[in-house]
Amino acid sequence: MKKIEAIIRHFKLDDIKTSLTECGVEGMTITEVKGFGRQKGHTEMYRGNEYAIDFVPKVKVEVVVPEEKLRQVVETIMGKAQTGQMGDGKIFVSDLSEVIRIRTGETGKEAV
Amino acid sequence: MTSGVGIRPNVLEARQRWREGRDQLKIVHESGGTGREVCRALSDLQDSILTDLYKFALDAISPDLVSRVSLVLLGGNGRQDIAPYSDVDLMLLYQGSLTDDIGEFSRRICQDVTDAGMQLGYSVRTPREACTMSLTDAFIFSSLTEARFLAGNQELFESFRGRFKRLATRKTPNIIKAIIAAREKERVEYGETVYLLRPNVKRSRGGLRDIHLIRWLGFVQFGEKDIDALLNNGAISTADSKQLKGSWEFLLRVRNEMHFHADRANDGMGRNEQVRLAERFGFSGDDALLSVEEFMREYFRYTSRIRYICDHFVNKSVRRKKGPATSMLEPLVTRQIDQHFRVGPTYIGVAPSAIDEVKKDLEQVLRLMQLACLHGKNLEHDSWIEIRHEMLKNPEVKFTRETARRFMALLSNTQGLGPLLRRLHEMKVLRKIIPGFEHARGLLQFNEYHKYTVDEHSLRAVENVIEFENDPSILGQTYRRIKEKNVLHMALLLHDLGKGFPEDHSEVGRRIAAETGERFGLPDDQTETIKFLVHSHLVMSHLAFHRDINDQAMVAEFASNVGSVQVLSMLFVLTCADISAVGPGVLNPWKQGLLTQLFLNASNLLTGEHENAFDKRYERIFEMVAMHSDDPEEQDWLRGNAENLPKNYCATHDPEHVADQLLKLKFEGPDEEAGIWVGPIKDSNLHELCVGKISTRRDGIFYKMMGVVSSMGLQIISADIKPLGSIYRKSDASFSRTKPASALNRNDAASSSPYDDSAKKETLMWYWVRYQDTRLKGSTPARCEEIRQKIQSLVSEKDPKPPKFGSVWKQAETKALKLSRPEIRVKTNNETVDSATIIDVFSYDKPGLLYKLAKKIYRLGLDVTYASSALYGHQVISVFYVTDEQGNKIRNKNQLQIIKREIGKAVRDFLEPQQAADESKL
Repeated sequence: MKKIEAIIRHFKLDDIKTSLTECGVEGMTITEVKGFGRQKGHTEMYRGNEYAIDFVPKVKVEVVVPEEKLRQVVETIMGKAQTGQMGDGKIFVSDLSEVIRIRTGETGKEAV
Repeated sequence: MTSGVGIRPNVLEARQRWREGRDQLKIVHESGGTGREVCRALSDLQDSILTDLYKFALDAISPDLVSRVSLVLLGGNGRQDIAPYSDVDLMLLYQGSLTDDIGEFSRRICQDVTDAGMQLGYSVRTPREACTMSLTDAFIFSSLTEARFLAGNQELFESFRGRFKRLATRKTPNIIKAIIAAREKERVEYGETVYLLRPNVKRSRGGLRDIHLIRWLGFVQFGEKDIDALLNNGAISTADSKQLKGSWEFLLRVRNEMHFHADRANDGMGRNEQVRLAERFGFSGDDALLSVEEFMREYFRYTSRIRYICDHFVNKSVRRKKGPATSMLEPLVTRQIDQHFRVGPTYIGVAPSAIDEVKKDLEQVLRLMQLACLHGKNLEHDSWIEIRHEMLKNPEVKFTRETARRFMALLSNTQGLGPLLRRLHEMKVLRKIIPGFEHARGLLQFNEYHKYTVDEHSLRAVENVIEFENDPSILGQTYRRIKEKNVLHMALLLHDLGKGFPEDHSEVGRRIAAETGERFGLPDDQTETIKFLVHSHLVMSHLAFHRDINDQAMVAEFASNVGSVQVLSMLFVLTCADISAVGPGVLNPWKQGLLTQLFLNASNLLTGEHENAFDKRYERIFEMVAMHSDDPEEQDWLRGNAENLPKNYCATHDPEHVADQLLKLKFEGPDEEAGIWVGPIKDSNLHELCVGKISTRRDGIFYKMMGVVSSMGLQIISADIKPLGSIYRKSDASFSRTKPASALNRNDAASSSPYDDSAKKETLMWYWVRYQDTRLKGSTPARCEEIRQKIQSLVSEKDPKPPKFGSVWKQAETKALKLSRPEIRVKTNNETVDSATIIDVFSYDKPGLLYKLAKKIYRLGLDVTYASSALYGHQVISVFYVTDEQGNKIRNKNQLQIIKREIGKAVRDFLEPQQAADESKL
């Protein structure tokens, strides 16, 4: 099993959620995050005062999928999240050693 | 059979009796038995079982112990209001030393009660120990307050009770303080407000614990804890005692149901449980209200009553705690402040002679509340009761224009507004002022998002917005700058009142806002603003969280719908306050950041220039422009002028190019007064026309230039004019300083128009037009030169002729434009900058539009000190900073109306000539 963490533009979330649901992803975790990559933060002036916009707001989507679905899910996220502009985000994929559904105690694919 | 080997038969029998008895009482409960009846029967059953267990233990261990021990029921057992699965709170009181037989007896009681299937809270103490320990822990004290004799030596119990009462009398102030503090701590954990969406029946505010608190405080002060006894004692009023008993009954019945259904102790009312309870108690709901919402409204009605009565009792106790001298002196130091009101050291109230008059008069009631907030005093309980009763019972209480005026005045003030509105709501006054508030009272928002009921949410929204006053961020700054705060506060009070009806709550809200505006006799513009804010209160959060806030077309459409910076500022602050009032931590920096960015982006479009927000990156560009000269004075000049160029221009051109263009504006001789450039814009299919020209007031060059550009078939994408920093003439080899363009910035409060000295004052103006050449595919250098020459001849002619427009056969209107044609609107705004009136014109585009607009503004006798017009998708937003001929803002309301009407008419005549003609015939 693989865990996919995608940092995306916040307004792409609705599209990505719909597409992932369509391709059979049954659950996901969403977190409002801030950060910066190459799209650095900046400082703004407003009515004479300076405000640091150090971190850019993004959304983190976490999805756990069986290995055979990894490619499809990553491509779906890529397809929906891409604008071609700096700041489209990143996708991190990592191996997952175990998943357990707390209510039933099921493990592995059954629990995803 | 000995302990530890198995359960004794008498205990097994006790267990069965308890189980069966409880099951029978469940039937009683389900067949409609009152909460009180069921609790009392449970208590009697438990008493009887415990007495039997006590007797068995006594007989088995030593019958002589009866003279040395006493079994005492505490807490809920003492009060006889236990729930089906409440713990048993027992104390074994003994006298003399703790002998082995007492120890064994105690262990036996503990074990048998537990084995009988009851959760036991147990202690073994002498009367002295019990009293001493009660002073160290308010929880023990309050539990002992409810002590009731069950079995054993009654004299021993009476001696304990006597000692405990004496202790309570001796230490009254400290005990009151400790009990109140313990309850406050509990409320922090279980919910400070009545209107929680997942309340705890026992421990949240307005729950059973608040009734217990009244009993405990009653015991400490009057030696009585029963509500009837407190009534006889004069400690509470008849109305309070009646309401308290009614609410108590309701909560006991709900709690019994929750325990019976769960087959365990369960006091937390989760969402599923609420739905079940609503159904169980026969709430049916309707199109507008779910049954659960109806039930919870009823629940909150009872708990808010308890909360108020409890708060009042606590306040009185605290006053009394300060000593009898204070209580006795209070009437003596109370003074009459006018014919209606009197102020004491801790409260404000209505003079008895005036109460009949005041309670019917909303205006006087508002004045009373205003005084209470001003003096930081509580409202005298009797006055509270009288007014509340009148508001509930008397439909004749009149809402007058004077009441409306006073209420709007109250809403302008941020000092103490939150508590004031809360009191008005509690006293049922708010519903007489804003009738929609009655519907919102205790109205549950049955979703995963909200934490409070509609009324609580609305009041919190106002309280939270006032907190923004001290917020150092852009949000706080925006709130502080809003002048008509009462309009914003009113919109916050109304924004969710449309909930609980079948229709979309924003639509219902808009109608409520319109009715409120009419009811209050508000000026049309204020009513319109409130209607807009209420109707659009979800728009900004939707766009910020679900759309690309850097999408210019989206931001332009939003800005156009909002119409002005004042309304935008209010919508931004209202949106943040609304989100923050959903629950603690809901307005997080992530959400606030996105909303702020959308606000800034839209604000920039409405003010026409990135005056409000500019990136520090520009600093570097200005430096680089200045570096193109070796002469320090020239460097200053370059830098100053670069700073005054449109920011977008600086961002899209190389610093070298900017410097080259500016240096060409160092004019050779006295006759030279303009530099003109025409050429393609890098990396785009657009071209630009840049003109630096020395202008005088009223030369109308802007509109004429727009005319030339349009007449040549150039589609204007954006047009900016800005005054630059200073003029340079080589003839006198000096820089003549003119007013800096930053005069447009409202931060520079002392500044005024760049033209203010005289009508002939010269200013170096910068005109920048981005266009698409619709007549040619691709633009040749020859075409650029043709345009340059036309502009050259325009600026050098003293009185140029009006431009001629080529006939355009049936201007093509795209399908997309037909479908989403933006509304034509004109807004004026005197608040955003100090030096000029801003005119925002929202429309769609057609070649020649800007010319018509600029010409109309010129003909209206207005001077354009700054302009910006840009096309976003189908939407054109044109912003003009204008002054009158003396360089002042246009403040006359009639004149502003005429300006709006005339410009609107000019745009309509131009864009929709047929429609305009039809309308004029009508």
